[in-house]
Amino acid sequence: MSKGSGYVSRAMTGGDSQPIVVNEKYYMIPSPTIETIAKVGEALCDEQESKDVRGILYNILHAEAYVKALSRMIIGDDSLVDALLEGTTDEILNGLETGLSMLSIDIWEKVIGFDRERSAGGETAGNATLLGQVATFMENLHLTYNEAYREIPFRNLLVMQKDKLHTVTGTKIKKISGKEMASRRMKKGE
Amino acid sequence: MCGRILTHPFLIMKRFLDSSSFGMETINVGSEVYVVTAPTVGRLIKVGEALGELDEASDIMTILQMVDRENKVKALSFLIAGDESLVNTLSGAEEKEIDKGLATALGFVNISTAPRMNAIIKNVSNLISRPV
Repeated sequence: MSKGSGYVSRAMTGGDSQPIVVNEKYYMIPSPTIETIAKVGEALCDEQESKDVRGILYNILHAEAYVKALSRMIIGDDSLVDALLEGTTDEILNGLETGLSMLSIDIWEKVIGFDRERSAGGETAGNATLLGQVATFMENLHLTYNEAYREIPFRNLLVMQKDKLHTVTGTKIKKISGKEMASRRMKKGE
Repeated sequence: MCGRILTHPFLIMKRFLDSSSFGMETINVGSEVYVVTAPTVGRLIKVGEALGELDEASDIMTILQMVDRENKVKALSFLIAGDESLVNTLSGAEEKEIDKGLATALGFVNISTAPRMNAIIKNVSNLISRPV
């Protein structure tokens, strides 16, 4: 089976959890929902980017928020904080990076033949916040708030919205192989 | 789902390598030699609490030199033993040795940690709301 089919089936069955290791114990990070992202954001909301040596040292010596964020990413609450405090900073950051990588569909786009379209020129506005995105998912996919926020993983929502059967408003981009492109040029030259 | 101890050969090898060459340093403080290992986040937080407010400087050694000796001894005890049990023993050491010990123990923290932390904050923040 193709790689893309594997991604899709695992995403649908919930088998796309990613393993991480902290203090020689392994934890599974499930595909994050919008609720998880909000909880992680809440944990990290007071953190500042470090710009000097003092800031760097301060962030390294006060990494409770990152541990809390990882606990929320794994289990949805702060119950794993004590266990995760026994891990090193690298392990905690690896875990968070793994969780965040599960929010993107970049890898999917490389192996799945999603249809691409060029917009008709009409401008769009909105989706500046996660709340706006919830509203967009609810409207486009006819979901309840609970389904969009809590039940369906964020990546699944992105793929559902991207791949939903819809009428093309602009123009559909057709994929052409190198051979076809070369033969077209030859014909033009004649 | 979680909490199971791994016995995978890779992890056993990692543990061996950690303890043999990469994750361990010896420091001389006073007349004693201590072994320090890569600190856990929990220990680093205790160190942060012990060191208190830090002053601005261009390097870690200078920042550490500006911290009270008592706080530094407590921080070093946390890094070596995970608690304050070594405070009395370490108190008799020279300040230079304490600073060097602290810098060595803190040196286990990877250099890429700060940019990675910054990237995580930025990613999560941009995901939740678009910046102005």
